[in-house]
Amino acid sequence: MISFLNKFLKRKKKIILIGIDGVPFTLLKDLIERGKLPFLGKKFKEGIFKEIYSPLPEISSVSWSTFMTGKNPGEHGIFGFTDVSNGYNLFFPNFASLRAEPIWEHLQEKDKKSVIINLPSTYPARRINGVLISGFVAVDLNRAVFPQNLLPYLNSIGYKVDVDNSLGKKNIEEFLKDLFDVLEKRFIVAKKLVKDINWDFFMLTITGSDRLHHFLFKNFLDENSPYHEEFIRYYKKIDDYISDFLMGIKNDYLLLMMSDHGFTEVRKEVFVNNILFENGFLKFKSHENRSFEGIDFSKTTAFALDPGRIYLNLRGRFERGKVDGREREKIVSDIKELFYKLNFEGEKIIKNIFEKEEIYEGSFLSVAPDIILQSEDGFDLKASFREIEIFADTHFQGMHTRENAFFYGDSEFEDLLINVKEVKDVGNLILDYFEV
Amino acid sequence: MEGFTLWFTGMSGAGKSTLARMVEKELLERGLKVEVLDGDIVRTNLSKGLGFSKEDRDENIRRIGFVCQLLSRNGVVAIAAAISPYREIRDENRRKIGRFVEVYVKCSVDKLIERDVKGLYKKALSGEIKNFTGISDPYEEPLNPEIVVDTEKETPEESFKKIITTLEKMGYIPPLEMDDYSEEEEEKIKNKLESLGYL
Repeated sequence: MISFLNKFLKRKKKIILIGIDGVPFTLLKDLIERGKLPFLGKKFKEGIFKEIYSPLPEISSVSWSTFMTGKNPGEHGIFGFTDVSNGYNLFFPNFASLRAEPIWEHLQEKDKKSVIINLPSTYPARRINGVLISGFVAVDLNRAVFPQNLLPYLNSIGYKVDVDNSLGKKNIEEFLKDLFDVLEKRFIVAKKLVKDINWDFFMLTITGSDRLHHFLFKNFLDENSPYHEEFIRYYKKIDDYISDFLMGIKNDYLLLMMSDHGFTEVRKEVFVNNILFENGFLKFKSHENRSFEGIDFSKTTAFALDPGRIYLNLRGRFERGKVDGREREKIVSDIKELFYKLNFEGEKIIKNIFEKEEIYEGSFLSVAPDIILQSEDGFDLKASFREIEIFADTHFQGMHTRENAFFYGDSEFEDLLINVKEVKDVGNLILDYFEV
Repeated sequence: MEGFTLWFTGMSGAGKSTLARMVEKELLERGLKVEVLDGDIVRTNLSKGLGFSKEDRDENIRRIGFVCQLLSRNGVVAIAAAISPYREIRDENRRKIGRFVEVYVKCSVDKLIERDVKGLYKKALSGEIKNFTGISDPYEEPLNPEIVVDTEKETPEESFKKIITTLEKMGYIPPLEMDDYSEEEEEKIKNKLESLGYL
């Protein structure tokens, strides 16, 4: 089908993809309607601009890994920023833990060159036919760059892997300054590499948008809030930078844009492990040590990792597994009932509950969380033990949503773009486009 | 390195022995201690004299399970490749052994009849062999196996890779190319995730 279409389409040979982390479709639409984003407003009229949805859980590491491989988490093996070994050790999956090939590794088999800037979950950087500058959760720029001869340049302009998110709680003025600075540096690097490298696939990801939303989303919603204008200014800057970036490039590329998940206002944090504890599924060794390490796994039936991934302590799966395969069904059903009934002052908390087989498939199904919770907007699920109550207020203003991510593609390829419904499809679209 | 049992179950000709040998080779190359208990071979020694009635089949699987248990607790990766058609006895072994990874080697009966490498299905269909799993005896699929390989759709290499990567991911065998974080890096990552409310 694709090659049939290609014969009739005067194909542009290259693709530029601009990822903007955590940007809701409705937010962009609103800003465009209000005339705040002149360039994107004009651009989006020329092509397909629509809502897509992210994989579950709806967090960046899972979503971008799904995008970059075109496969679901059951196939690529990334289920969150944290994971748990069969001996109950928490670990942080990284790029080496990704069990499916990213797009650019398929492209290099066809001698296609890629430039990837700031894509989350690509740390530590590894060899690529082109350039890779890793994104979140990169901690050391020295291990975040391939080829290494780019390092002196990146250091010389003060390129940073991420903003200092600790400022988001401590000092909003400084946080905003950092956000704008990091954004500017991303585009300086993008403008240089887009000229220096003879690329086929060029991807730049902006992640500051996600940070802005975490700390200041209510400032977008409320026009009278202190940082409303700054919030809008950040988006105007994105609009300006994209316009400026594309202006200098010969128009022989297909332009795609996307976000990895949506965002909404947070009202309450909901502590999943506290719910499991209060209902007897999770036990601690002592009440003084309420932490993951403090869980008594010989007596625990189920525990959660962020945000709403529930693992049954299954025999065979875990060292001190307590749940027999035959008990599984009953426990799953009890937990589902518990969470469906959960409410805050009469308001429902959980929108959907999935068993892993319903949303994942592939080799890593056996290590996937058994139950995945999706909350109603406003209720941010947490697996942390920092609170002892079920519900808590928070300094964060925004939370992720599965729905309401966005996608844009140039209209001349409408036939190909129309099938993009979720984040995963964008990765496959690129592979199809390059016929790999 | 702690031992564990990798238990292949599935019908005759599905590919259990082939995959067990491929995994054995890989794990030996990675420096692990490995022992394969192949159903066909076990029946010539450990379970000599046992037939194919339900009782005898259960006894055969129980014996293989017992040896796996001994091997596993002494740091060996015990690989069992036996039809093991009954769920109850497989689960009994799972309970006794603890560190137990069940691999369901899936393939449809139609495909197995078509393959029939050992000529057994032909004999079973003609009635020459009685109590033949999948033809004249039941096969109870595992309800919650750690790994499912579909040899009708996957090449042996694909199934093999799936098994190895799952064992790595589950922490039973060390991954070959794991870019571990230093303690300092791990601390920084924790802080980053905490500052965004992820921990």
